[in-house]
Parts: sequence; structure tokens; C-alpha cells
Amino acid sequence: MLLKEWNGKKRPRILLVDDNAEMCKKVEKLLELRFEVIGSVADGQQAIESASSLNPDFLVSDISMPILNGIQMASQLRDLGCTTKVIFVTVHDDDDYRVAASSIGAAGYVLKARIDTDLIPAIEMVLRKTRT
Amino acid sequence: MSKVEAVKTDSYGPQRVGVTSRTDLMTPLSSQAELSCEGVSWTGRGRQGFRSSLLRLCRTKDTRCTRAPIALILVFLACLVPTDSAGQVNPTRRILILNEVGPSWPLISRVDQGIRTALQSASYRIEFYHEFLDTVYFPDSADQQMFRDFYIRKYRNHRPDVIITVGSSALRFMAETHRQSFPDVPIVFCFPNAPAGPVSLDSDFTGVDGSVASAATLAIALRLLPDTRHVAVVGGLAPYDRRQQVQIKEQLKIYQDRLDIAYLTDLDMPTLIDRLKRLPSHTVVLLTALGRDSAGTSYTADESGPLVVGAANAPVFSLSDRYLNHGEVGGDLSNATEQGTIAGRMALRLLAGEKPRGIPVIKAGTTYMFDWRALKRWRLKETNLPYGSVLLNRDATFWESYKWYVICSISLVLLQALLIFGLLWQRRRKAKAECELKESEARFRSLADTAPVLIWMAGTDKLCTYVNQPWLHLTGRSLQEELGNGWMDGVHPDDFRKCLDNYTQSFDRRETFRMEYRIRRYDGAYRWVLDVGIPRFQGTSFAGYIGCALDVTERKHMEQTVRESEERLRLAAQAGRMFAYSWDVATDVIERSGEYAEILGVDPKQETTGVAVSAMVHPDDKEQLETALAKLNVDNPFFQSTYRIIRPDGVVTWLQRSSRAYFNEHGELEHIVGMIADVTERKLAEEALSSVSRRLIQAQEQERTRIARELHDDINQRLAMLQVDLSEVRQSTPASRTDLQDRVEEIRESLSDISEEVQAISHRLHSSKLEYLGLVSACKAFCKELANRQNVRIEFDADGVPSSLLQDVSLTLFRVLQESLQNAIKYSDAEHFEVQLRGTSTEIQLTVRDNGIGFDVDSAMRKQGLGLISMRERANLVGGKIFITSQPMHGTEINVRVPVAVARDPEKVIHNAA
Repeated sequence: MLLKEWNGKKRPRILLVDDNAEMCKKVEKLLELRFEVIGSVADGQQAIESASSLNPDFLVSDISMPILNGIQMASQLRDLGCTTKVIFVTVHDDDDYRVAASSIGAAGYVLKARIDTDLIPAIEMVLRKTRT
Repeated sequence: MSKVEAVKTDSYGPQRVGVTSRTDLMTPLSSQAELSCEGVSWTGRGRQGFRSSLLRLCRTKDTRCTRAPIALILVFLACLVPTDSAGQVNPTRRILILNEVGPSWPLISRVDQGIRTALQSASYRIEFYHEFLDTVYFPDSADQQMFRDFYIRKYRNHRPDVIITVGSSALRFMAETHRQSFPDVPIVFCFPNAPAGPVSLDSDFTGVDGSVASAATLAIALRLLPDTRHVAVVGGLAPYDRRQQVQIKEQLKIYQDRLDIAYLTDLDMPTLIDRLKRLPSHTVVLLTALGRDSAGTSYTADESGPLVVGAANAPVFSLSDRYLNHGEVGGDLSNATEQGTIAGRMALRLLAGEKPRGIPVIKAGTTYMFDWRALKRWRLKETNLPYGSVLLNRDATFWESYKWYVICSISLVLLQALLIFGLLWQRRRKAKAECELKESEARFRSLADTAPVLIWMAGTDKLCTYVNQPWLHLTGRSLQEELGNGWMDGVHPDDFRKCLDNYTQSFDRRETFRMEYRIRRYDGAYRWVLDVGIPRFQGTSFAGYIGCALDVTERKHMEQTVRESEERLRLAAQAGRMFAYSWDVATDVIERSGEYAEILGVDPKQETTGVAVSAMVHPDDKEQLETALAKLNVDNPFFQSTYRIIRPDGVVTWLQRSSRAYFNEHGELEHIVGMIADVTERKLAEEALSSVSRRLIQAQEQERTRIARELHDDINQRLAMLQVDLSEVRQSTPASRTDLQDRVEEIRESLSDISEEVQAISHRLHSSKLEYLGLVSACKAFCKELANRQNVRIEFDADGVPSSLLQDVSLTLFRVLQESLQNAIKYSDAEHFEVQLRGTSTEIQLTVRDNGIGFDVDSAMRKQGLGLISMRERANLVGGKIFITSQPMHGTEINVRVPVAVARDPEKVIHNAA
């Protein structure tokens, strides 16, 4: 897991969850200027374990993963009482997935094809809702 | 009784006579006279002869002891014999016995006894007349003449039939007077003794002449007393004495040279006695007739004999039986009785009509007779006596006196000994038998206690009297508890009544019984026993029962197991549609078990043969079946074949036959046994499966072709176009930044389309929703997508589906939904479909229902369409069942029930999205 330091200012801490390392690098590069990307893990099980220890503000997670997929991971975090916000980054451009993500309390749903434009606004919108 | 015997001779030739006792010989005349005076006629051997025989028997002294009871019985019987009729009176005959001396002389009585004895057998009534000349006491001739005249006159008119003379004077009287006085009367003489002067005897005379055996007597004396040197001959001066002395002197001449023989014959009795007292040693006395001494004194033999014997200091031998029994030793004696008997027999013959001249004169013999007491007195050895000697006065030996007592005593002792021995033997046998019985009992107990069976015994009252140790070990109870009716406490309650009835009924009928019942073991468990009871008999009397019980629990269990096994086999055969068969080659008869009739479609009552069954075989399979059968041999007796038959109802049935052939010692096929199974369903399934596999391969190829076509014809083409577009962007200079951005945006959209197309292809191959969103979401999404695509209405409803399901279960239900819904839309002509997903704690049900035209389920199943098969196989894989209900024009309902299993591998679990 890669941890990034930020120069004293407290920024939202984000943990990346994706079995595709290239995608993780791309997302980290996209977010690192504005958020603190505290690391990345390859499956939902590792994400649950890291979330309990690192207590990140966001989990930016894929859905299709081995061992424990994103839907299952989010469902278990909710059952565990974890307050970390989950934003799915997925290729499934399907309303059933969106409904499923929403039903388990996901904070955002962004298609991978549009992360350059939609991911940061989705995080910021969550931050705004939290502040208000 | 003496063992010595005498040889007697008479006119009838030599005759050996056994003498039993002195009394037989010395029966006094008086007793005989008494008998004759009873007035009973001695008429022969009739009743009187029988009676007299009895009386003689009774008189016999030495047999009195033993014969008396018998004689009494015979006398009693004789009294019962009826007497002769009074009219049979025998003619009377007169016999005149004319004696020389008086009746006091012993000679007279002895001769008389002999005469009477001989005449007992006469067939006449005999009248005896005794007359006595008595020449000793009346020697005067005038006296004698007077006697003669008297007798002549006396019998002149009382003529005798026979006259017997005893002595020389009587003979002379008859010789001189009979012609005138007793003409034609036959005369028998005895003791003629050489009468003085010549006597002329005519043809009317016959008789018996006595003998004097003085030489023989002296020879015996010398034999008994070899040292004898002197002989004193003692005699008298009576005429008879002197005549006898003449004969003696003549006979003893042969001893004159070696013995000193002195004749003391002319002495008076006192002198004689004195002389006898002083005889020198080594002297024997020979006593001859001594009727009168020199003093004129007359002596009978009974008088002179004791005087001589009493005086003599030497043994006294005698010459006549009259001089015996007074102390004389005895000798070769003339026997007066015997002479009388001979004379009597002659008289008997004369009475019978014989003439005297026809009866020759007989010389009477002598007899060796001795007095046993004298022998003892003079210490003379009995063994030196001549053979056959008569021994008188012999004291009976202890044996002779008490023989019968001894015999009886010994017999009694022997009998008692035998009895005691028998009792002892019996006792020993009994003891031995008791010992053997005890040993046998001990052996039985030992055997019974070590036998691996339960042994019991019961008495006649049905109560148990014995059980062996194994019984007690089994029941864990004591002997006292088991005895009587105690053993029945351990019988299982369910078996008690049957056991008791069997036992008592068999007991009453004395029959052997066999019964099986349960008996309680020491640990409370019940064991099955087979009990056999046999009645016991001692001789013919019933003695109870003995029985033996065997623990057959294991056998019962095995029987139960075999029964269950057989039942299972029967059920298996029934379920598996199989039957066993046996084909006998010789008779061609086939025997089969139960299920064959249904499988072969034949009448079970009809006998089936190998020929009939061969005819049922499908023509296409006949050759291979016959080939397989032909290959059977001793080394290869097994064969397995699958073939078809055409049943009588036309249905073709597949049979699989597993058989074994049996051959005889010549290698010839005898019979075949085996199992035949109806494998029609399996064959059809195999065919269907083969068809399904083929179609699956075809479907797979079609799918690959489709995916390849899509990838090649669409995705690849579009990617190629994108490559062209990107090349144009690189080579051409865009007119403006906006123009470049537009071109890039077009390329990005093309890529997005390609991405969606790839996702669609991927979705068709495998639904990612099922994995990520769960069964309910996947099914719901599929229904929605299909409804939109096919323009139909699909109502989806889910309830109670668990949040987590096994991946296989979810996938199975999803695929069944896909297949059934697609088939329904394709074939039902319906527009409205219902899909229900119901979950319970144990199973999940998926129901797909339409209101279409329906279809024939059986036909569809037989056709084994790929869709139905795949649905059934998928359901089977997860332990589920599929039920299809369809009726023409009433729609179809497909119901799948899958059990909910606990997942062990988290990766194989699909979670439904909340």
C-alpha cells in the first residue's frame, strides 16, 4: 500500500480499491492534487481490513473484484457500522448496479470511462453534503 | 449196609444176591407165622401182592427213615384200591413140613422161613402143617415109631399135596413109609445129612442137599490168622453132630501135616468150656454141630454157640449160619434159609403139576458169612475176607447211619452257601451297579456342565429338577431359582404362553417337542434358544423329560438378515426391473422369478421355453446373442449381452443379460442361470444423452461461431476503423483545435460503443449481475431485459430468498429461468408470463408459468429436448427436482425446487444485493 504525505493541510483521505493496478495509478494521479490518497488495495476483503485500521474518509472502489466484490464490501462495511463513504468506479453502465449501489449506501457511482470528468465532482459533492 | 456180597448157587444156576441187612436174613418164624395166621390167602401178585410189597417195604429197617413217608403214602393209596371180588377163591393146597427136631431149634425156623418165602408167589391158598419128630429130645425108637404112626393116621384122611422133610430122620421116615402111607405124594427133602443106614429114595423124592465147607472155612481162618498152628474142632454127640464130624474129618485131612487139629467132640459142656478157656496161643476153634454133649445134655445152636464163644480164648469159626451171631467169627457157612427156599421153590413146581423125577436133586451152596463184631474183637482184617462175603452186625458207619442227615445237612449248607453266595453276588452286583450309576451320574453331570448347550431335566410332575452350569451362567441365576417352575421367570413375556402350552401339551402326550423362545440373560438381554425335550422312561414307566437348549440368537439374526436381504433383493429387482432365470438345456424349460412377466409382457401362468424366448429376440440382435451363447465353454462360462426383444404387445424392450453356464463332466452344457434386467430406460437415456451431447457440441460451435463473427465482423471491424481514424488524425493537420477535439471525441465515442458491445457480449455469455447483485437482481434484470426485447409482459416476484446462496444454486436457478422463459416465449404463443422466486429455510422454489398453448410433457421428455435435459441435469447437480405441468390450452408451469445448503467456501457464495 502506498501512503502519501501532504504538507500539513488536512485533506480528505482516500483509499483506492481495484484489482487493476493501472487503473489505480490513473485514479491516484487524478486525485492526488486535491485529496490524500492513503493507499490502494486489490479486493474488498483487504479494503475492509484497511478501513478499520486506517479509517479513510473515502473508499474509491471498483465493483468487479475477486474474493469480495465492491457491492459485498460496501454491504459488510455498512453492517460493521463504518462511516467511510464509498464511491464506486465501474464499467457497469447499468441502472441495476446503480440501484444496488444506492441501496447499500454508496455515496457515488462513476463510470470508469468518465472518471476524468465525473470522479472529483462526485467526491466533492459528497464533501459538500457532509459539511452541510 | 455191608459192601460185601455173597455168591449164591441153587438149581437155577449161580445168582449174585445183594444182602442188605441181617434182619432180612434173620426174620423170625414167629413173625412169618403171624402173617400167615391173619387168615389172608397168599394168592400171588394181585392186590395182596401189592399190599405185601408195601408191607415188606415198611418193614425194611435200614430204609425206614427214607422210605417211611413214601410207604405210608403207598399204604394209603393201597387202601383206596378196591379189593378183589369175594367170589375169586383160589384152590387150597396142603404142604406138610416134617422136621427132625423140635420148633425150638433155630434150624427149623430158618428152613421154614425159606420155604414160606419161596411159596409166597404160589397161585394157591397154601395150608402149612408142621410136624416134629424131635429126635434130640425123643431119641428112643419106640417114641419115634409112635410119632410116625400118629402122623400117618393124622394125615390119612387129610392128605397133603407136598411133603417137605427137614433132616435125615424125617427123610428116613418118609422113605420107609410113603408108599403105604402117602402114596403118590411128592416129597422134597432138605438137610438129608447122610442118614445112618441106607435110604432108598424113589421117584417121588427130590430135594436139596446141604454142604459142609470145613476146609474152606479153615482156609479163611488161616488167611485171617496166618500164624495159626492149632485147630480145635468142637462138636457134639447127637446123631446129626456125628454125621457132620465124619465129613469134617475127611475134609480137614489136607491140613493134618501142618496144623495141630484136636477134636473136642466127646466132652461134656463144662469140660469143653474149661478146655476152651485154656487153648494154646495160635489156635482157632472150628465150631461144628453141637446138639448134645457127652453128658447127654441137648443144646440148640443158640445155646451151645454162646457157651463155646464165651469160653474160648481163641477166635471161633463155624460151618453153619445157625452158629453165627453169638460171637462166632463165621466162615464158609451152609445156609438153612437158602435150603428152605430151594425146597419151597421145588414144592411150588410140584404143586404146579411137575413130577419129582423131573426135578433133579440140588446141592445147596455155602456162603461166606462173618460177624463184624467178632472180626473186631479178634482184630481180624476185613480186607482179608473173600470177595462177596456177607458181613453181619457191622456197626453202621457214621456215614451209613447219618448219610441222609449228612447229605441233607451238606445240601442245606450248600444251599445256604449258594443262597448266601447268590445274595452276596447280588449285593456286589447291586453295589457295582450303584457305583456305575454314581459314576454314570457323575459323568453325566461333568458332561452336562461342560457341554456348550443348555441341558435340563424335569420330573413326572413337569417341574424342573436339574439345569446344567451353562444354563446358570446364561441366566445368571442360582440352581434353586431355576428349579421347579423358576426357569419360566426368564422366558420372554411374548413367548411365555406359547412356550408353556407347548411344554405342557407335549408333556401330557409324552411326546418329543421342539420350540424356540427367548430367555433372559444375566445382563437382561434376551437370547433365542432352540429347546428340544425328550420323554424319559425307566423300563416302561414314564420318568420325566430331559432336554437340551441351544442358543440360536445368531442364527435368528442371520435368518432375519437373510429375510431382509431377500426382501431388499426382491425390492431391488422390482425397482431395477430385473428377474432371475434358470434354463435347463435338456428340457428347454425356463424358470424365472417374479418380475419377468411384467418385463417380458407374457402370461405368468404359461410355461416358457428357450425356443419361445428366442423367438422374441429382435431380428437385428439374434445373431450377436447366438454368437455369445455359442462361445460359452467350461473355461469361459460367463457371458453378458444386451439385446432387444419384441414383446407380444409389440413394445421393443432392451434387456441386459448376465449369465453363467454350467457343464457336465463331458463338457456338455447342462443349464444356464443368470439375471436379466430391463434396461430400456437406460438405453433410451444413453441415446438421448448421446443426442444431447451432439447437440451441445453443435450449440457450442454455433455460439463460438456467433462470438467469433461478432468479434471479427463487428468489434474487429470497428477497431480497424478506429485505427484508420487515429492514423488520419496523426497524419493530417487539423484545421483548428476545435476540429481536433471533435475528431478525438468521435474516436472516444466509437471506443465507448465498442466497450458497450463487448459488455453486451460478455453479459450474454455470463451475467455479472448474478455474481455481483445476487439471484433476485439478476432474475429481475433478465426478466425486464427479455420482456423489453421480446415485447411481452413478464411479472417477476421474489419473496424470502436468502441473502446468501451457493453460487451453483444461484446459477442453476438463473439458467433454468433463462431456459424456461425463453422456451415459453418461443413455443407457448403466450404474452403474459409469471416468474416467482420463493425461499424457505430449506429450499428455494422457482416457478415459471405461462398461459400459452401447453404441450405433451411425456412426449417432450421422450424426445429429450436439449432445453429440458439441461434444466433437469442442472437441477440434479444441486440436488434439486424439476416438475413440469402442462395441459393443452391451459398453459405450462415449470417448478424447480432446490435445497438450500450451507456454504463452506465464501468464494462460492453469492450475496443478494440489499
